[in-house]
Amino acid sequence: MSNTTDMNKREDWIERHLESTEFVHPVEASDALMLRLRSIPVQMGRKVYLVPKRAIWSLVAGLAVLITVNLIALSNYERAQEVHEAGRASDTYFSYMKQL
Amino acid sequence: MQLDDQSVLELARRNPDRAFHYLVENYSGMIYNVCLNLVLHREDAEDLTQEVFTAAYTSLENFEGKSKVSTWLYSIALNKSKEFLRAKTRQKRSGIQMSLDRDDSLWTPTQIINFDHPGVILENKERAAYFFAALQQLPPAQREAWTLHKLEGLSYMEVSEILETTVPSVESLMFRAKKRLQEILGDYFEKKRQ
Repeated sequence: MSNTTDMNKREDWIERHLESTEFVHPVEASDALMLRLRSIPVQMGRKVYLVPKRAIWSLVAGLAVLITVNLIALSNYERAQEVHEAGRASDTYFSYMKQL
Repeated sequence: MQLDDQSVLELARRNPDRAFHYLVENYSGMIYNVCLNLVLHREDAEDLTQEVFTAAYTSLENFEGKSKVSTWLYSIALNKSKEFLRAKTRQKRSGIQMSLDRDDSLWTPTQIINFDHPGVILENKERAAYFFAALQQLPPAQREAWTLHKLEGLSYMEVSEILETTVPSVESLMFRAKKRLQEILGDYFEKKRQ
């Protein structure tokens, strides 16, 4: 009987000490802490916002497209110039032959 | 003003400083409490809370919203607390070797744990000391799961997200934690009775 009572006492004591929400209550952050937290951006000294990654990638892609278009246009122009030069030489030759 | 997580994310993209201030106003209490329950000292918890929010500020723009804002902040707090407790343990080990042969006749919970928790009133101090002393003896994963579920009141699902594990794993951690706490508290009861 005494053993059972002892066991119950023990179990009750353990359970009472496991009910932490009864004796550990949430607390609010102090004003001093709030002040410290609010001043983090100032302490970090970041005044200028960083450019978002998406904007950087868009810029890189735009530049790549621009360079590609320019290279294609340049090569087309050079090819057209060559054809034009060749045509002019043959025209000169044939008009000379006609005169003869 | 209460924003949902998606709005916080959008605000963080448009104006990180405003988003940060929103986090401070709405989540500082939550983070301070979890730090306090993990490190058990007011000043250490305040320093840790500042570290958590500094880390949050620097990584706010990289926060992709894959988890809830609270989960993200809890994860940072847990990692910072772990680092702090590891450093503290190292300091203790490299410091003066304390006597392992404690005189049990002088044993009280406040002798094995020194805590400064503003959420514990004086009349509950001894009860809390037994509880915290037992909690400190659990393996880190069990202690974290117990703290998040029992002291912070988070669901198993939320705890599993913060600990990056599954709900059954959290259930198992909680089961083992309870069993171990009962054993440790049982020992304390016997010592107290002697």
